[in-house]
Amino acid sequence: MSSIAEQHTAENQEELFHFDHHHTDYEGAKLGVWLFLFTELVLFGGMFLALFAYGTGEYATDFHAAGKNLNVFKGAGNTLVLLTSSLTMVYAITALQKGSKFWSLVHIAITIILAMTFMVIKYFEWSAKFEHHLFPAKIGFLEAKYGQSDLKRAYSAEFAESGMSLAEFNKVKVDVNGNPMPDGVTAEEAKKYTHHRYTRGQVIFFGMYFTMTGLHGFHVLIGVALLLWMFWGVLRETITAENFGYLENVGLYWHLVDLIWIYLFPLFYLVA
Amino acid sequence: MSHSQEEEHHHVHIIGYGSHTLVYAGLLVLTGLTVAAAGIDVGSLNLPIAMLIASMKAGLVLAYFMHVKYEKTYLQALILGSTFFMFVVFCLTFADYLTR
Amino acid sequence: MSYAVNKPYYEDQAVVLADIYETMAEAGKTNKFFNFLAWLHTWVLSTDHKRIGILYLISMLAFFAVGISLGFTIRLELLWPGEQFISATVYNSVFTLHGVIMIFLFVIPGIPAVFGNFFLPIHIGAADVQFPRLNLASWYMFMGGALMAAMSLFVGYGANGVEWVAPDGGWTFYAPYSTTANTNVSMAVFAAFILGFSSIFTGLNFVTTIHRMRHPKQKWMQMPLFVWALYGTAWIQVLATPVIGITLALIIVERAFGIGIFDATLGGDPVLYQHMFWIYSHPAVYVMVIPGMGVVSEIIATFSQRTIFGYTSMVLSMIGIAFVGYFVWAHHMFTSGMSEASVAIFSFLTFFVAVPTAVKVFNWLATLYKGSIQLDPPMIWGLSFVFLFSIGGFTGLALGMVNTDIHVHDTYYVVGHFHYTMFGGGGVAIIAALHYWFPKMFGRMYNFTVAHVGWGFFFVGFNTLYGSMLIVGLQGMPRRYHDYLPQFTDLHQIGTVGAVIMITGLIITFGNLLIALFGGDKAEQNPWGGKTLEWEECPTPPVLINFYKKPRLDHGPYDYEGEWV
Repeated sequence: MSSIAEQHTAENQEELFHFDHHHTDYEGAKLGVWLFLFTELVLFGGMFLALFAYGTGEYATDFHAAGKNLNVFKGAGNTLVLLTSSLTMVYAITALQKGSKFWSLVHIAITIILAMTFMVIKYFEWSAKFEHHLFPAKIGFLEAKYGQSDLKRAYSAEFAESGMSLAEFNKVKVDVNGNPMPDGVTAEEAKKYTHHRYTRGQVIFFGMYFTMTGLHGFHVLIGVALLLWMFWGVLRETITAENFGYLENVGLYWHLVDLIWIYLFPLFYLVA
Repeated sequence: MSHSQEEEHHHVHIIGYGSHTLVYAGLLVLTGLTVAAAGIDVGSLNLPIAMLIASMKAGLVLAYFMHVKYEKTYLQALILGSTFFMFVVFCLTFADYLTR
Repeated sequence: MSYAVNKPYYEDQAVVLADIYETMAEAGKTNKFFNFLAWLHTWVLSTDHKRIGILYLISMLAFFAVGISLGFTIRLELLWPGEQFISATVYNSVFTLHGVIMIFLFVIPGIPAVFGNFFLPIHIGAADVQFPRLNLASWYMFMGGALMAAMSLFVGYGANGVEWVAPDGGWTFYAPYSTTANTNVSMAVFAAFILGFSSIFTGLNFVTTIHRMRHPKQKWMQMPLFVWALYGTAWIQVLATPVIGITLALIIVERAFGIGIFDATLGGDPVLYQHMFWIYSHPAVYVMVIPGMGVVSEIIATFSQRTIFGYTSMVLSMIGIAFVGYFVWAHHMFTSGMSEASVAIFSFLTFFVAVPTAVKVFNWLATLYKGSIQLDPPMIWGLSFVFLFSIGGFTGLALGMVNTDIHVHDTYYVVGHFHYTMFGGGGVAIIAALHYWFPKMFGRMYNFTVAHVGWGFFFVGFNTLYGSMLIVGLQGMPRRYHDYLPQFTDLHQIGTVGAVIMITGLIITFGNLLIALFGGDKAEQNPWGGKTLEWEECPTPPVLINFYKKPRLDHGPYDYEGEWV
């Protein structure tokens, strides 16, 4: 047996070990992306865990009542937008595989536009919430713009004592100190009492709503960046019918974003 | 050679436009179904039904849009296995929350 | 790229360096400082898995030294009841930082980051990992997280009259203290978040590498057990770490925005934090220990010159530990206010994890039986792992059993238990791996006598220190307490003496290795007679692409008796 030091002058040069730089491992890259998707699944899964822990237990009625504040049309609209964007995403891949660079670019562009539409609808949704004083309690600049958040206090003890139904309780207006509006005030005075009361479960509902849709929206934005990168790649033909791995993998990420929304939608918008 | 598996470089499975559109139609139908079902109150079955429909949609996206139906067995096994894990962790957490 | 085939990997950037030096000479910049910077770049920008492993090694050992100093500070403060030289707040921050450093910066990266990176590709006959640049990014994230954790100790100190900013709630960051405390919790927790991603990407890299880059002749059931250990660990890193990611992110969101998720006054549940925290942190302890078990399998087989007993059951038990380890987390929470039903369920499940672990211990013993045993330093450290980890495991039984746990929860008994398992297990395994692979990695051999002396001091000191903790915990000494009742004084002092002896052992051990690094004898190709690929077919030290010729792989990793295993 030749010593190690002599082996590098082996007669049969083909037996020499070499590092294969030019061969990208399509299957390996895909496996890597799937593993990353698992981490995303578990990341959001943790929040779904929290959501289920609260929403199926003592806060079931509170979630039900709080869900009425969400606009089903905007939610369903966003669902349709994302589902369609998933469709255009796979259209883009099919188009590229079939050799049509033009249609691939068109479909990627539509996907990006739909993603931005999603964010726009989300922006209107959130603004509507903010205007109704529904935003996480500690955000200073929102407080400055819209007045104090209704989510700063949880009125559970008051609710228990009031004897009202949850719907009635939520409608009672209070001032910034939490004192309910008395009967028979003038229209002028009534303007001071612009806040609603929410119970603990409802505060949690909105907290989870903003956090989960916020994190999801953040992932949509990252998706837009990736899609722009893909657009550039297809345009410059670094991504082609022979070398479409990148596009497919970005597609996998985009479908994950869609998947998460498929679960978010019924849990927030249809719980009412 | 760092490549230890066989070359499946040029064995590319292309899913056609028609198939994709069909899946999309299915997704639209299920979305409509879940919105309609939300209007019917069946008490404690509300959540399981909503989750069931959502999972059917997720299944369609996974199998066709994400190509899992046509992937190698080991990858399908890994995907199923990881989902199963999360599911068990959920159930065990509920062992606490449902029995308080 | 061009590379010399016959230079050690740590010299092989000479070709690249030569170009840089030439360019610098033309530009008129040739002083020693620039030369040094250029040389540094070939390390800090390297995507070679071996160099990345060394980068991790240096940084981790530095953090370990800091962690040990913090631990020693704790031991000094505990010499007598009452305040000795640090106040209660400072003390709380000391043990918090001790935990954060030891766990997130030493034992969790631990063996996978150093020896996994260095040897996984070699063990499977590959030239590198699947994603070399991601590998380097993992190390950058590791250093970034460490930097951020360091910053959390003093950023904002003195501003607005704030007196103390270092986090002081323990490395577990339980809500509601972590969500309301006036310290740099968000920064420390974000550091842990980044470190989590470093871990995730390492795991992702290893799973893909093992699936895709194995030598064609190496089937799954012919991989070395070290590779199996890395595989199981990598899966835990991928599937469990994101849970702590989201938990910590929620702490930051809670502190910044007040959403109420862990805040009882707003409707949140602090116990939910504990659930989410431990859903990761329990599997995390298996991330710390399973690679160590893989190393011990290698060491015991090599130093008994025998095939490992029960290869298949070793693989299955490793997977079994990883699997069951996901479902036992709430045994950290028996006294938290969970329902009684879940307490019972988790206690029941916890006992199962002992079974595959026992299988491994018995298999190691059976491997030793009638073996040709050499008690060289790697072996003595490897056997220490089995001994110390077993003690840790036995003390865990009292913690898994609810009726005893409610008495010892949050006492020094727990502290003793987890130091036996994480330090006596994970930490000792790192030292064992270092002694085992040192000659291969650096081409030098260390002094055995000095190594044995160092081990002796460590072993005596370790058992004195942590054994005393087990006893004083049973007697009622709570953990994370700055002051204590006078009756515990003697045992604390014994413990501190043990700490001094143990640290002496560590200094001797690492000093020995450091001296060998620069002045030790040249190591042989295969000093231990090992059968895995790094010993026979990979040069000592390895060349840049690990092998000269495609590995022949005509025998299995434990083929000491001529069997193909």
